[in-house]
Amino acid sequence: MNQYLFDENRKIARALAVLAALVVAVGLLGGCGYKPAESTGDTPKDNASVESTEAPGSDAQEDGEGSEPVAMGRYVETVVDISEYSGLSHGITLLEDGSLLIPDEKAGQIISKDGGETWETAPIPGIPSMADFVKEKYIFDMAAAPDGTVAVLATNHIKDGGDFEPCSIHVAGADGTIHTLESLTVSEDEKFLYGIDFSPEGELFATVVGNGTIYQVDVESGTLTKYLTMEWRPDLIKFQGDYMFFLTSDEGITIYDRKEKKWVEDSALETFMKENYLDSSYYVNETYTVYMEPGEEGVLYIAGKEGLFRHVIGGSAIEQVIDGALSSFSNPSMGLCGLATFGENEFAVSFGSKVSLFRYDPDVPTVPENLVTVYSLEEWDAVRQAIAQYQTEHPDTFVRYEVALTGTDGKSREDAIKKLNTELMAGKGPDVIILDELPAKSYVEKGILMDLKPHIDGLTGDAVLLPNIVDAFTENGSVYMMPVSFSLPMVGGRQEDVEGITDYASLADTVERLREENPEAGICDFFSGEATVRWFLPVAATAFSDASGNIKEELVRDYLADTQRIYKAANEGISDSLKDQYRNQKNYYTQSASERSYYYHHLGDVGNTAADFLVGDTLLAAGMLYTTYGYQQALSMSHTADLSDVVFRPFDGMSEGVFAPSMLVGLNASSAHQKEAEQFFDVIMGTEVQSLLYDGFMTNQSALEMQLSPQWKVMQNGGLDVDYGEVSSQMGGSFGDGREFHLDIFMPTKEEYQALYDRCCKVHTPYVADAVVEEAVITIGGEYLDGYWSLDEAMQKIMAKVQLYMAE
Amino acid sequence: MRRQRTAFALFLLPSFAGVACFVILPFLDVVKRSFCTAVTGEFAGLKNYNVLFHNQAFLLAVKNTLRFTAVCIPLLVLAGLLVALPLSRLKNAGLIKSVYLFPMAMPTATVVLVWKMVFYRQGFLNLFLTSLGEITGLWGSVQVDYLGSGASLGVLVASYLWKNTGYTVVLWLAGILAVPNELIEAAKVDGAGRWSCIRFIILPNVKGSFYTIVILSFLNSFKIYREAYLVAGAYPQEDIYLLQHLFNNWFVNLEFDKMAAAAVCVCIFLFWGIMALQRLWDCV
Repeated sequence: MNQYLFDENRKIARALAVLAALVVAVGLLGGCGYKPAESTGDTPKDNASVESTEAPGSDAQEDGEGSEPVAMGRYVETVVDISEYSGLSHGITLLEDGSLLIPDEKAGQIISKDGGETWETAPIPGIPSMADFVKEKYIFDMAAAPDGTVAVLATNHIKDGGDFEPCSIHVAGADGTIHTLESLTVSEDEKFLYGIDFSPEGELFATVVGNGTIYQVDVESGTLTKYLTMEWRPDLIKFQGDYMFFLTSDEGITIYDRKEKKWVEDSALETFMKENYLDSSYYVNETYTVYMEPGEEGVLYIAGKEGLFRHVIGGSAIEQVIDGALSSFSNPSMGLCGLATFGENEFAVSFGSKVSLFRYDPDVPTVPENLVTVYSLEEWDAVRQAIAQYQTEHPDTFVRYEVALTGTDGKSREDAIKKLNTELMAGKGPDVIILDELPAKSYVEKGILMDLKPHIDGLTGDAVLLPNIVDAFTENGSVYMMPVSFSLPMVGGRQEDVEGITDYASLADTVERLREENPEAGICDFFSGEATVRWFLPVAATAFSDASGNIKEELVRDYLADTQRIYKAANEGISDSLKDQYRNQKNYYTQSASERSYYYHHLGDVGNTAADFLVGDTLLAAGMLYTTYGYQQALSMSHTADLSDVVFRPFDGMSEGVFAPSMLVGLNASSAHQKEAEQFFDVIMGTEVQSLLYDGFMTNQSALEMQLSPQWKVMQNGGLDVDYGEVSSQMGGSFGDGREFHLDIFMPTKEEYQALYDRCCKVHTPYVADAVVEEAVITIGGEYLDGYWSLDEAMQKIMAKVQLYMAE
Repeated sequence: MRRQRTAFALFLLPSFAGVACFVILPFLDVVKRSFCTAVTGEFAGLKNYNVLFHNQAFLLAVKNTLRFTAVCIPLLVLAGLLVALPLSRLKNAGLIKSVYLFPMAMPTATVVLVWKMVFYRQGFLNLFLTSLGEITGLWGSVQVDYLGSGASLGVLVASYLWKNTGYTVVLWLAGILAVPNELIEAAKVDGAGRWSCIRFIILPNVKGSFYTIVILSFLNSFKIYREAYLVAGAYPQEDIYLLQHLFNNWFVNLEFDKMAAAAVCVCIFLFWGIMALQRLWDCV
C-alpha cells in the first residue's frame, strides 16, 4: 500500500513538473519575449467617430492576404484657400444657378461658379467698399438667399460709451433693386436686431438680442412683423418646405411646422444633440461649434467636431456621413461658418479663410489603411490642428490621438507615464510623442527617441526650422525633440530702471532700489513665496546644472537669496488694498487654482501686466512673451502719457539667450510607421499648422516670418488691415476697487517687429523643466521666502532631495 | 486513495496555473531583464547588480525599509497582543473589535487627508501644541513640519500601527480563543496566576498565530507606501524614502534594468527571511 502511494505521488509530481515546465517554456517563448513593434490596430471610435465599423490599420488590412474584402468608398476633402478674399464670413449659400455664395465683411460677396474650385469676389450692390462700410458700421450679420439676394444687418459704431443705435438692413436684390431699411426698432426687452436668415422663397427673418422673438422683415415696406416667439434666441435659422429649423445654444435643434403652426417632435435628433453637443454656446467668435443645413427632401445635415451627420426628420437614426477625425471638422482652429449641399451629395463647408469641398470617392477605402498614434499627457490644440491637416493630406492614414490626462478619470501624471513606459517597453508605444512633462531625458538616454537630425537637415523651403532652435536641441550631433513653438522672457519698466537690469542679481538690486525710492508703491505682483520662486525659474533653472547634469549648489543658493530680496522688497510697505489683492490671489492660488492655471505658471504673460502698470500697481514687470498681442500690449504702454518711458526688453536672468519651448515633439525610434511619423512631424512643424497657432512664436522659420508680418497682422485683426504703428484695438476694464484703465493697442512698427524676430533667431538656451529639481526648489525655497527656514537649512533640504534624485 | 490524489491535483491545477502564468513567468522575465539593458535588451552580465550595490539611493531605501520594518513589526505584534489579551476575557467584544478594525476600512485618500490635516505645518497637531504652549506659557508657536523633518519616520510608524493594529488584534484573538479552556482552568487549579497562564499556557499555544501575524504584518508594512507617497510625493523626507519610492521612480524614468536587479535581490532576501523565520519557529 505504501509503495503504491509512493508511486502515485511520484506520478503526480512528474505530471505537475512537466506541466509547469510546459507553462514556463510556452510563456517564455510567447509571452515575455520581445515583440517587434506593430500597429495597435485600434479603432478611431476611441477618439472621435460616432459610427465607425472598421479598424484603421488593422491586421487584415495590413496583411493584404487572406483578409476580408476592404470596404471602399468615403468622402474625400479638398481644401480651397480663400484667405486673400475673406474677412469675416457669414454662411455659404447654394444659389439657384448652382453657384456658391459667401457673404463676407471684407469682400462683400465671394462667389464660386465651378462648385467651389475657384472663387472670385463681387461687391454687394449699394455697398461699393466694404472697408468704408465697416468703418462706419458694425455688422451683426449677413445672409444670402438662393436667388442671389444679399442682406446686411448693421448698426453705427458705439460713440461715447453709449448703446447700439437701432439697426438697419441693407438688402441688395438679385434683380438689382436695393432697399435700405433704416432704424428698425424693437421693444426694450428685445434691445436690437441681432441675426438674419433667408428662407428659400426669399422671405427674410430676423432674431433679436434680448429674447427669443423671431421677426419677419417686409423688405418692401421696411416693417417688422412678429412671426414666432421662442424661449431663447436661436443662433441659426434654416428652412425646408414647411419646416423651420432653429439651432439654439443649450437647447439643440428644434423644428417648427409653419403650415401646421406647431412644433415637431424628433426624439432621435434631441438625443443626438444632447449626447454629442453639450456646449453651452453654439455660436462663439463669429463661428459655430455646430451647424445645420437641410439637404434633400426631409433630411437635415448636422456638422460639428465629430463630423457631418445625416438625419431624416422624424426618423430614429443619425448617420455619420463624414468622420470628423478624418477631416477638418475636428480642427480646433477651423471654426464652422457655413455648410451647403450641392451636386450629387457633395458638400461645401466654409471655415472662414478656407472652404472644404467633400466629394464621395468610391475608390478610397472606407477607413484608412494605416494608423499613426500621437501621444501627449495633456491635450494640445496644435496636435488637433496637425491631425486635421495630416488627414487632409494623407487620406489613407488615420491618426489616433491619445491624451493621457483627460481630467475626468483621476489618473495622475505618474500613472500615465508608467502606462506609457510599459507600452514603450513592449514595443507598442505611440509613433509620435509630445514630450512635455514626460521624462524626455530618460527617453533619450534609453534610446526610445529617434534622431531627427538627418530629417531636419533634409527640410527645405517653407519647411525649414529656425537654425538656432535646432542647434539648441542638438546633443552630440543628434536632435531627439523639437518644440512646435516657444516663448521669450522679458522685463519691463521705466527705461532708467530696465537699463540697469543685466542679470538676476541686478533685477533684485533694482527692486530693492525702487522700494527705497517708492516706500508705498506696488513694484511687482508677487503674492506668495512659492509663487515667486516658481515665477523666475525659467531664467534661472537652466543655470542650475552643468553639462554632466550635476547641480551647482552655489547658483541655487544665489537664486534663492536674490529671489528672497525681490520678494521682501516687493512686499514691504505696500498698500492695504494691494495686500488684500495679494491675499485673495494667494487664497485662490492655494485653494482653487489648478496646476494648469495662470497662477501656477512660470513667468506669466508679460502682456497681462499692462493693466497693473496703467493703474500704478506695478513699477517693474518680468514675464514671458507668449503672443504678438502680448507684444502689442507691452509696447502700447509707451503711447500713453504717463508711461511714455516704459520699455520692455529680453531678460535672461542667470543664463543667456533663454527661451521656453512648448510642445516638444519626438518620434518613437521603434515605431513601425516611421515614414508616417516623419510626415506628421513635417505637418506639425509646417507653415500651414504653425501659422494657425494661438500661443508662442513658431519654430518654423517661414511661419515665424509670417507671424511677424502684415499678413499675420491682418489675420489677427479679423481680416481688417491696420498699418504698422497704428491703433488696432482697445483694451479696458476695471479692478474690484473701482479703478478703471484703458489702453489703445498699437501695431508694432516694422523696427519693433524686426527686433522681436531678431531675438527669436538669437535665443539658444532652452528652458526644459526638470520636475523633481524644480519641485524641491519651489516647495522648500518658497518656505524659505516665507521665513520657515534659513537659507542654509533650505539649501540642505533641497540638496538632500536633489542628491537622492541624482543618485537614482 | 488514487482518486483522492487525482482530485487533489485537479484542485491544485487552476491555482498553480494562475500562479505560474501571473507570478512565476513574469518573475522569470524580471530575472532575465536583470541581466540585460533596459530598452535594447542586450546582455549586460552582472553590470546591473554592480550598479545597484553602488547606488546610494538603493542603499538608503534598503536601510530605511529595514529600519521601518524592524521598528514596526515588533511594535505591532506587541500592541496587538496587549489589546487582544484583555479583549479575550470579555464575552461580547464585537463592538470593540469593530472599532479597532475601522482604520482598515478607511480609504487611503481619506487617511491622506487626515494626515495632512494633522501633520502639516499648519495642521491640527501644531495648532494644539501652540494652544497648549499659550495656556501653559511654556513654549510659543509650534510650526514643525512633521513630514519634512526627522519626525517623518515616527509619523509613518504611528500611522502604520493605527491602521494595522485592529487586524492584528483579530488574528491574536482567534489564536487566543482557540487555546483549550481546560488547560487554563487546570493551570488555575494548580495555582497559576494571570501572568503564569499567559506565559506558560497561552503564548506557547499561539505560536502558530504568532508566525502568521509576523508574516502578514511584514507584508502589510509594504502597503504603507501608498499613504507615504500620496502625502509626501515621490521624493519624501529622506528618512521615509522606501524601496517602493525607488521602484516607482525607476519605473517613471524607464530604469527597468536596475529595477529588475533590485526586484530579484529583494525577492531573494524575502525568501531567505521567511525561510529563516520558519526555521526559527521550528527550533523554538
